[in-house]
Amino acid sequence: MKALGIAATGMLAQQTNVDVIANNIANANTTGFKSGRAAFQDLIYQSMHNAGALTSEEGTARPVGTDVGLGVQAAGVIRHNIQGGLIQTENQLDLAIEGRGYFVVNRPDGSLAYTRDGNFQLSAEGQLVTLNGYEVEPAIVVPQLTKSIEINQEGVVMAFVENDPVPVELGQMTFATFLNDAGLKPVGDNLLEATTASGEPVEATPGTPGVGITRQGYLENSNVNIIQQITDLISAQRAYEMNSKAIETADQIMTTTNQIK
Amino acid sequence: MSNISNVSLSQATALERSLSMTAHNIANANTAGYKAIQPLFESIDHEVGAENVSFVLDRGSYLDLNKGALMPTGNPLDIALAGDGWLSFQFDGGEVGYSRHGRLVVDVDGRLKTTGGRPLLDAGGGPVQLPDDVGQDVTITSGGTITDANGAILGNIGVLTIEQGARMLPLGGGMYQLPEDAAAPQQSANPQVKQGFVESSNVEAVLEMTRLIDIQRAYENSVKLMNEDDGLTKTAIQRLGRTE
Repeated sequence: MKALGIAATGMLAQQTNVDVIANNIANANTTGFKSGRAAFQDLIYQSMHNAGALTSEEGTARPVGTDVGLGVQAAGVIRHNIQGGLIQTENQLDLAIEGRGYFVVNRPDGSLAYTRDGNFQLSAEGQLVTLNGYEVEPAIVVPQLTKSIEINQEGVVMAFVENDPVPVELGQMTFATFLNDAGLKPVGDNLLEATTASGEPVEATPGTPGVGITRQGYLENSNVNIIQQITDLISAQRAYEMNSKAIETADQIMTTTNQIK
Repeated sequence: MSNISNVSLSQATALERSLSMTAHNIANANTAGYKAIQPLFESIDHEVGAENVSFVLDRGSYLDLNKGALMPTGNPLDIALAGDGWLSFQFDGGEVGYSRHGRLVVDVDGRLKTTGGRPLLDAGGGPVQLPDDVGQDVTITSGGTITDANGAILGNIGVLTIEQGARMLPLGGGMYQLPEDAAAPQQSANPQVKQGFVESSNVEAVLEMTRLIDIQRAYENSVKLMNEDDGLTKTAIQRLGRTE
């Protein structure tokens, strides 16, 4: 009875679907979060009769085969890299990216990670860091007694120190872009890692065409469309139920089989 | 075994296969680009003495080519076909597979691929190759032309019409193969490519659920017939065996 196993693959796939949807909903208010969607594929088919098999000596052939599919699998989770809405925070260290780029973050183990979350703070040494205390690459150190910081669209950071009306230029942000954004690996803490699928990061300064610009005093909201998620959740649940009905039918058929004397 | 049992057995076997296909359709009710598969039954007539006996044979299976609903995703690399036609993809060894599932990604070499890594082919039959720096910032017209943000043409997507599509061989992963004797696919005159949409599965949930009930009841009937036949034989043996 193949139907039991087939319906089980359907239930497993819908479970993955619900997991992905739950993660999207849980991160609906996470800065810079990109929603994911589980992609499904039908499994291979078992040919009971092959199309084209000869059915007579005169050369007539079977026009169609009997192909019984073996169910479904989750082929992957695709991240939707579309721009999230910008929210004004008026915090001078909050940065949002309008465009394709990613901020580059230096992790404690020396490796680089990438993020769309521009919720930056200053470390004890005055260096620009993420909420986890990871340094932003390239290093930008704000001098003591800085009154205010201005960051323009090209990512140039300028500090107004004490009463000096002329700002001090502290450096310029760098954005990384990837050929295949969907291939980046999420590692939690709003960070993404480069993989062979994403390709090597291409670094450029903000404002370069195709890279995006910096917006000071804004954060990028998650791009989760909550209504879409809820409707997806409903259809996932119904699909799960339908698969369990198929299992029930297979079970009852087997019970009937047992009644043959 | 008598003919009654044999006929019932042929029915039960066909029903079991039919159940597998229905379960497969239900399992893929949420699989984008999936085409439902349906069994084809046939009766085999057989003359036994004076009576004519018809057995059931599951002759084959065919694809239900009805279109699934187009679902907006907002993802620029999702494409769906609003009209008839198929997208073509390169397989290992130069073979070509066909699909209606257009959820694409761009790889590190700038080629458009399925999530399973099969390159999408253009109207000329070659892989769709985009420049390195455009990523997802592309616009795809309904004719299948790919342009960048400034309107420069970067390539096109091949949309093919296939006759007798219902006979295509499913390969899994949303891909289908042409049957050997099929005519070569032609470029579609009216591709109707929709960017930012995905074609959902064309499985009719209600139909498949009622089919489940049908199959179960028919199976019960056929088992009942077998049992009746068994009862008849038993009674016959008992009656004829009396020696008084």
